Amino acid sequence: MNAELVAPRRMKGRDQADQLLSALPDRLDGVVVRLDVPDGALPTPSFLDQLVEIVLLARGAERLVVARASDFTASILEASAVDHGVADQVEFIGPA
Amino acid sequence: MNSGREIRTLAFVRIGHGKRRLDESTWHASVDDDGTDHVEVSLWECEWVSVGWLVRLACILDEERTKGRSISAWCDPTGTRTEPSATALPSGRPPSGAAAYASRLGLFNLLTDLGATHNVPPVREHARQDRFVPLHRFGAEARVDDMIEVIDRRILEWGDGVLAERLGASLYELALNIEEHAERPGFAMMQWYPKANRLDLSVADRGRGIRSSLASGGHEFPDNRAAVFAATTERVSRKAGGGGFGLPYVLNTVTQLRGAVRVHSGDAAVEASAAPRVLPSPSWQGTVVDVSFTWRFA
Repeated sequence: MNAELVAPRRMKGRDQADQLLSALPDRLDGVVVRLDVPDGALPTPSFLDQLVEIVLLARGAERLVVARASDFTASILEASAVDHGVADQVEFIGPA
Repeated sequence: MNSGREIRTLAFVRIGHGKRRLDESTWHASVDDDGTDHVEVSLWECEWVSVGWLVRLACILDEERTKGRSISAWCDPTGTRTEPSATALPSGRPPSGAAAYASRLGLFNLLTDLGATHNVPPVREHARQDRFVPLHRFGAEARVDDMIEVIDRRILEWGDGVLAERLGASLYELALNIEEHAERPGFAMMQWYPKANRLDLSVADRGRGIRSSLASGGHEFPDNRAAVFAATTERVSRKAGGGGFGLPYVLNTVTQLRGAVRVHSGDAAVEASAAPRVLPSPSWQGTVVDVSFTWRFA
């Protein structure tokens, strides 16, 4: 089972990440969540950290697959995942 | 304003006295609360106004107005009523360039919004809006986006999209962070100095400050020094169960880009660097973040 999210072009704080995640079920056990990052999107560490924390830790998704992330967005997600001890559950892929 | 009552000075904000360069530290020594009901700003010897200084001034004046105190501001000695040395200066002296500059950066609009009596020259519109985002209150989301646009435009001119993304995202996070935690209105502004290839951004509020904000999340610190240091280097947050990732991350990013960031709250300030250090600072009720980034051509 998969779930898909599209990141906003202007990622803001944790509240905005919570808003985006409100479209997903409360539990994501066994689910692979795909996050599409639009071209030119501006990431914020708070937004991406909240995404990692809620998707993988709080809701227990199997993996977070991030598509089309810039190097900077990927570096933030990696740092957050390492911080949370879930680095092996975050994967990066190119455009679909 | 002040009709029929004695004008006294609550906080004499002396700007540029003795032709000092104005920066964010100079005003502290000249604010003197004597329990009266008026704030006066003298701009007439001002030679330089920094971005950080102006946002601090805006916060102070806005707070004093909220307390019901009247405000006046003079950019030539003829308007000054409470500064004793003003009478020693020739009258009719034109406003300093810095006063006009401060006006353009948003001081005129601020004073007018606050109902101040002033002779700061009105803003002259011109085609340099891509060089600065004027003084503005928090909560104006479009202004934060304006800052990002200025960064994009200036840095992308040199074809460095990676730098624009990192710096833009860092500034965005800083602005959103301080806005979220302030719980009181604050001010922000940004200026691009094309000759120096430098960008200065300051965001300030007169809220509860970092130590108190963290305490509300269960993180008690013995003093401001410990609180500010922790907030800028560790994963601590006022929110239970998460947060505290953004600020240390962006400080590290800006430092890697060889920019300078200072986070000031209470009587402590941390300068971000490879080895962050706490500096003793004049006391500030609330929080201020100053960022300065100079683009260096490879």
